[in-house]
Amino acid sequence: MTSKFFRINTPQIVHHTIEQEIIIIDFETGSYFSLTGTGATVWECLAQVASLDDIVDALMAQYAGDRAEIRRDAEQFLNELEREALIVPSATLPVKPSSSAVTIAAPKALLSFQPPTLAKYTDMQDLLLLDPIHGVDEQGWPVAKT
Amino acid sequence: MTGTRTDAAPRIFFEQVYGAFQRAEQEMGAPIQRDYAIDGFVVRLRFAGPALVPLITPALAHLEMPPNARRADLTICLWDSASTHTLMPPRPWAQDACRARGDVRGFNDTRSRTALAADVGAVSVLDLQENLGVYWIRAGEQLPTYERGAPLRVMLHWWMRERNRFLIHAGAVGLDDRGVLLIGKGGSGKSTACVAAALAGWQYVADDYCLLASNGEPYVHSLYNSAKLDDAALKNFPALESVVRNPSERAAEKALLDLAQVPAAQLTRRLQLRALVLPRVTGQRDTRLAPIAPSQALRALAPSSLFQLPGTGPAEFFALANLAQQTPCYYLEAGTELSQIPQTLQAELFL
Repeated sequence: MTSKFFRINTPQIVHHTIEQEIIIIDFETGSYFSLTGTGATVWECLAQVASLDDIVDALMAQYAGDRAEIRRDAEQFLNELEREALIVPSATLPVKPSSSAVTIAAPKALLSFQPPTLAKYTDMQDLLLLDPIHGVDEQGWPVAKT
Repeated sequence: MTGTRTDAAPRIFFEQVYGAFQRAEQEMGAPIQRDYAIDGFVVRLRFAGPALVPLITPALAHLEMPPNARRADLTICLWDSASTHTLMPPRPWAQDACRARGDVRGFNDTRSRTALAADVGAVSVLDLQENLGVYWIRAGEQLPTYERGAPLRVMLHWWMRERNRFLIHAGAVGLDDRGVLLIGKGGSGKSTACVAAALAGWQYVADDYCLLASNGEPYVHSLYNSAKLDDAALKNFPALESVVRNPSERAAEKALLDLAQVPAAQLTRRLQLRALVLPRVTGQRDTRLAPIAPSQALRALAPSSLFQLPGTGPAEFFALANLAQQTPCYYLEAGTELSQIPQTLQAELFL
């Protein structure tokens, strides 16, 4: 995990930051997600391609907490993001090597670290569900439901 | 997802479908043509025979302009096999190539767009270089109410997004050319709020789908003059029973309303947006507005708009996020006294 790099799973995923909240939309599953706080910090790292070490460094630069705990929470969070197919292993490395790839302006005072959480919404999934398999005619086009 | 190069397969398929349309048009005699003005663009519909005309054109009637007054910016050819006795060319892709939003894998590139609406059995192809689209359906009777109320969404979305205009899932009503955008998934109360406002004499742009132009000040443009209400909602507006377009389908479908026939409703081509409003039905008598974060509005607006159309992506998401960031956002906590909805919006947003 330590040396494994991850990237955001585009183009399946689109994301946007709006007032410190990151909204993520998954075109494959019809789910959408929200990240704030430490979760948003992790995501900003991933937007530049990042390893677990990069992410821990970025979190330590902004939040006060025990490095081992932060690392454990970040690893669990990465696992969750990967399970949801929001991130995938990256074959390409960050533009700059190792932790210097992720440059996030450090706040003046460190905030208390809270484990990152992923808010998941599934209420729009029905918009993406494929219709039941239709019969097709000899030209291959769907036959109307009767 | 859209490819970044031009391939042979989508071009060949387009030519086949357009060729079939031309044969159908020839079969049916004199061409039938209607021109519509949408945000300054002339969109021309060219029908092979009359079968689809009464199914497609009523929802667009408020945008119709004199024929051939201007050169068409986009021409969409429409035909069906049943009335023209003309076969659609064989499907050139494997059945699993069609994605949930209608995208056909391998048949979309920088020049060509291809989508199959599997629920309707309709095919849309568009040549962005020639500004020429073809829409095919086996038989007009396959067109469900929601397609007749908001026809050609995919084609308009494809073409308009190239011009920084985005088809969004939202209603819009207003006063003095300034409007509110009503957002949220189906069943959230958008249509009820829009119809209540229309009956109170507000300008009406949409209850479900409209066109967002957000370069600079955000505007929404009307595409359809229809509104849809389920039976429970329609009971609140007994005066609208006479403008239901689909009385024979009411057992299975929402009522499709022709607001062009409602004297109080002012069908309006465009509104400048003042607010995003997310309705939620409270069951209380009174209606009130409560501010919400832009991110909450974006969550209500973006997935429901992006999931319904093929080929949407970062451009649409960015436009919607930009809209949410530059426009005040509110909950419309809608009460049971529906006349309060326009009153509350007016008192809070238009003073």
